[in-house]
Amino acid sequence: MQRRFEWKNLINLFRITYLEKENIPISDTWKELTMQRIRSLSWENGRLNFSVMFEQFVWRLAPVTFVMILAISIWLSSYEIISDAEIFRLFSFELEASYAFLLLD
Amino acid sequence: MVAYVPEVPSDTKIIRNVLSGNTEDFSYLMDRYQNYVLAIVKKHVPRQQIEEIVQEIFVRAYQSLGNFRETGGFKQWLSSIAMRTCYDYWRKRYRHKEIPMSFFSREQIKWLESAISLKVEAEQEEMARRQEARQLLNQVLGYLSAEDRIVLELVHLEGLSVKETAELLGWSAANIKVRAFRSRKKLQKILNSIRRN
Repeated sequence: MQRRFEWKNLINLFRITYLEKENIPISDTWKELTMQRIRSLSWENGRLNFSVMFEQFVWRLAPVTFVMILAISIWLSSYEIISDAEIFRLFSFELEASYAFLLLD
Repeated sequence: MVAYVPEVPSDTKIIRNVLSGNTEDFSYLMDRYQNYVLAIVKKHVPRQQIEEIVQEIFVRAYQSLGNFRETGGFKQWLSSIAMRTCYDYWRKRYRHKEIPMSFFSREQIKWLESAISLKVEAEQEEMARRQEARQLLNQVLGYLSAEDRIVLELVHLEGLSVKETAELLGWSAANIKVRAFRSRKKLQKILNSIRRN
């Protein structure tokens, strides 16, 4: 019984001592230091996450890219497509004609 | 005439701002909860470590802000981070701990003897505020493991329930119950051995 009373008494005293710790005065410098650390972290994160950001950026540009590809294809299809072989044939025919002209002379 | 009352942004709104890249907004959360966090830290770590631990708590909170879920509230989430950071501090410290069963001063032993038999409440308070009390408590807690120490502080000194302690530390209630019992027994044993010596 006596031991129980002693323990209860002591733990009560320690509880007061423990709760008194809340009144310890602290300067405000930690706040600025914390914000400095956080700023440097966000900068580092920004650097590390560059690839992730780039991916996001690319996906945002996808609709614009699609519209551009569509417009270019329509523009190209409005022209006649002449193959290299046809161009070569055209020039070769002109060349032959000029040689023939020279030979006739 | 209606007085203009500026709108106070909610925690959730501030968190969203921070997550969308407005890092500076995190200082609003710090202003709002600094006293609460400081009150926790002051009780659990030595005086010279308080500022460093508070910094660590807010940096950890910032880093895991993306994992915050609104269900429990920011205050509860932050206090859990605070408690775990304090616990980590002791865990690291105990890893390199050299415990010289440091002798207790004559004043401390005298304090213990007279404190045990005190009956008047006013005298108890005066006694508890004495330097010997602080020193003795810190020294005695130093003999407990980091786990026992944090549970003893929360359950027996702070008066939190087993459930609250379990939520704060993220441990099971059964573990807290066992630790609370074990740490109390250890504390009694240490105090008895001081008295015997």
